Amino acid sequence: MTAGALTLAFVLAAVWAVLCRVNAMQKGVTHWPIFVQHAALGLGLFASLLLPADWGRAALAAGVFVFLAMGAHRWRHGAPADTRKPDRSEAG
Amino acid sequence: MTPPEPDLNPLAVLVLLATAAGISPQIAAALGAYGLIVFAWFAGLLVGLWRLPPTLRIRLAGFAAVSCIVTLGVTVPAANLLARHMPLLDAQGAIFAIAVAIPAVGHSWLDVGAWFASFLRRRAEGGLPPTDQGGGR
Repeated sequence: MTAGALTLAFVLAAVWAVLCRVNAMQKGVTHWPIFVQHAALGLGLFASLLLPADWGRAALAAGVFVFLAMGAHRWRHGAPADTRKPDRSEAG
Repeated sequence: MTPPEPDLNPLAVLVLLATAAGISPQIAAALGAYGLIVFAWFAGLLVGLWRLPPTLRIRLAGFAAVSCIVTLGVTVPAANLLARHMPLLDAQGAIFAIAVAIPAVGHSWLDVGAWFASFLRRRAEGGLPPTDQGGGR
């Protein structure tokens, strides 16, 4: 029961986070794949609320997988440049 | 003897899952249909938010709530109406498409309404040739 309530709360929070991110995007300004990546994650999360437990887990896993897979090209040659901390020697 | 092929229609699958979860078949059918509508609403909501410029979170919540209420209230009657006038249309497919379109079109429904009103006006004035859909039967 507690695990179910926690899962529901976390999934709803994650759905809201995805909606806020998509709200911050705009057609014609944001890259289309970024929207598709977040839409897939959101649909997977939302489907996990509607489907029975086993299929819900599968939908959640599929959403997370598609999200990660669509961002994989950024990580192919190491961590993306915008994830690195600023170089202290350059800053000083 | 080969087993019967499963119906892979999303609505049929949702009904099957609800029945397997121990819900009575009648309630499972309604839950399945409305589960599909709610899922389609969420898909349309994502497209609608993508089309709109960024807005405040309170407006985002308002848009989500209003579009959800409208989708739940309008989808089934609109699908029935369409299916009555277009016999070739699949009612279940129409349910999904309408439930996606309501939040996805979002604020542009006003433009769609204005276009439709002008279309009807032009047709009433004789600017467009009448089609034979539903008229000659």
